[in-house]
Amino acid sequence: MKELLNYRYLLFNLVYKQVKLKYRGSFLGFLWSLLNPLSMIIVYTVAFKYIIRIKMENYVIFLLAGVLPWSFVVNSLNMATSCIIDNGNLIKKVFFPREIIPISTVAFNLVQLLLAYIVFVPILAYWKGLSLSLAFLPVLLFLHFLFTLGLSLLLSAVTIYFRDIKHLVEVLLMLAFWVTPIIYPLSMVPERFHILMWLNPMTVFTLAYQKLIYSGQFPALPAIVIMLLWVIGAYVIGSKTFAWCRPKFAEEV
Amino acid sequence: MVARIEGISKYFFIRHNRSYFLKERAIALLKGNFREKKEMFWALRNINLEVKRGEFLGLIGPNGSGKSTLLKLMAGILSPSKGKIFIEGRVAPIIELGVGFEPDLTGTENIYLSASLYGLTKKEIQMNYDEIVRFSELEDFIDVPIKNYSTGMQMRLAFSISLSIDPDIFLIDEILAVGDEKFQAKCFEKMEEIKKKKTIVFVSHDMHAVKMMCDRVCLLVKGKILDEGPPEKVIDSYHKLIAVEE
Ligand SMILES: Nc1ncnc2c1ncn2[C@@H]1O[C@H](COP(=O)(O)OP(=O)(O)OP(=O)(O)O)[C@@H](O)[C@H]1O
Ligand SMILES: [Mg+2]
Repeated sequence: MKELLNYRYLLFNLVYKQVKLKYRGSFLGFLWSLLNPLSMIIVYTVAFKYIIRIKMENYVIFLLAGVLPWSFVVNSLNMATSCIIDNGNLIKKVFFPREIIPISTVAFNLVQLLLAYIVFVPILAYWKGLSLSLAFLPVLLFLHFLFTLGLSLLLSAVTIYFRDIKHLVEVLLMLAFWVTPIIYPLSMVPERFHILMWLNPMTVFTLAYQKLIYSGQFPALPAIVIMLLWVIGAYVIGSKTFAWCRPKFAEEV
Repeated sequence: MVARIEGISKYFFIRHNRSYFLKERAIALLKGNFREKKEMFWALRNINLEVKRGEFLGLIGPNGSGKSTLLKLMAGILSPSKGKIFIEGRVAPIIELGVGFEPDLTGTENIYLSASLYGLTKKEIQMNYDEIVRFSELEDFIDVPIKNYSTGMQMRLAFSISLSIDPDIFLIDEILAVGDEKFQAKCFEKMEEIKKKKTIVFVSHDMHAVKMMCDRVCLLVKGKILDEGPPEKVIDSYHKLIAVEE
């Protein structure tokens, strides 16, 4: 932990590098990062407000409330499965706390999510007005970040031994998208399946985002407790597995 | 004493039917093929070594004798299979020049990125920035992406960054033969200067450089220390060994 603090400037640089490389050389540069979520919002609005005309009130906002954090998870986990191998040269030649690599991967995706919010929140304010519940968003983002980090630590470590976990994760995430109440509200799901939905950790996080952003309410205490349990579980399992595989990274990558 | 190596051994697994894929491992398991065939390869056997403060220690030996492995163990990059390593202070392994360089970033950006890999803080890098640029003599190119540098220019930048790390122990793996003749001379001059203040472990195949700079030399062959002592003597026994093999 103390080691990590000493290397915080490296963490910053690795995140900064990825952001910079992503937009460098493109004509619009940094503006691209804002254009990306903006175009997504426009496409959804046209599709669901004017073409498919979902009957739910403010459906686009409901959709974005769930989709944006979902993309954060998907992108983080997909990148996590290859991050140690992609940075093999650094691991073999330099000494630094290995955790920095998955942390920087998830942090990079968090930055993307925050950039999306920079575009989304003004639109939300215009369409629906901002509610006090948004004050809880940073807390939720922090919990969600830790949860995703835990899973990323786990995945990045085990891919050293099983390189095709990458493909498995891709498929599982695609399936998980449909069993998480992102494009439909949980109330549409028959009561008897609710237990199954709640076994999926992404459900409780998605519902919390929807509650904050769409319903303008603070999440209920039980929901916060469940999220905390998922965060602790994912983080403990992730960091233990990572620590256990870590000594072998330099010889196996 | 700044570094003590006690009874260090290191093996790697050479895996003959090793698969890195879940699918193949699952199939192997189904076939009842539980144990993977692996062979232990001992890259280092029972190494004992002390490095004294301010010493310039040379490590020589044929390819694959375990020199880089020993440096990586000292740096904490690899973990030993047996034995213990005690290190006082900060080590900087320079196993390769330009690790972590991003071709699309400029010289300046790469200085900050690369130096932070060695644990330097922003302040420390800022303090050293001018000196790094001055030593590399790349003032005119520092805002250009380094993919537009020649190989030698990249190495000069990397070497200058390495010098700024300021550790207690430098671990250097044959990296001095970089740049043109003039820059090489400058590198050796700088090494002589560092030598007065720092502890250095130096791996090289350049016997001339070893003779010129090292206080003491270790000869590593097949993972064992065969000889140790003043440069002339050890280089001599290395040459004899090569002659016998031929
Ligand atoms: N990750 C690894 N997995 C398996 N074997 C390895 C690994 N790393 C090194 N080895 C083996 O350990 C031995 C020692 O390697 P090392 O790189 O230390 O040699 P060296 O003395 O530095 O050689 P050179 O002069 O060519 O640089 C070699 O036989 C090499 O094949
Ligand atoms: Mg070597």
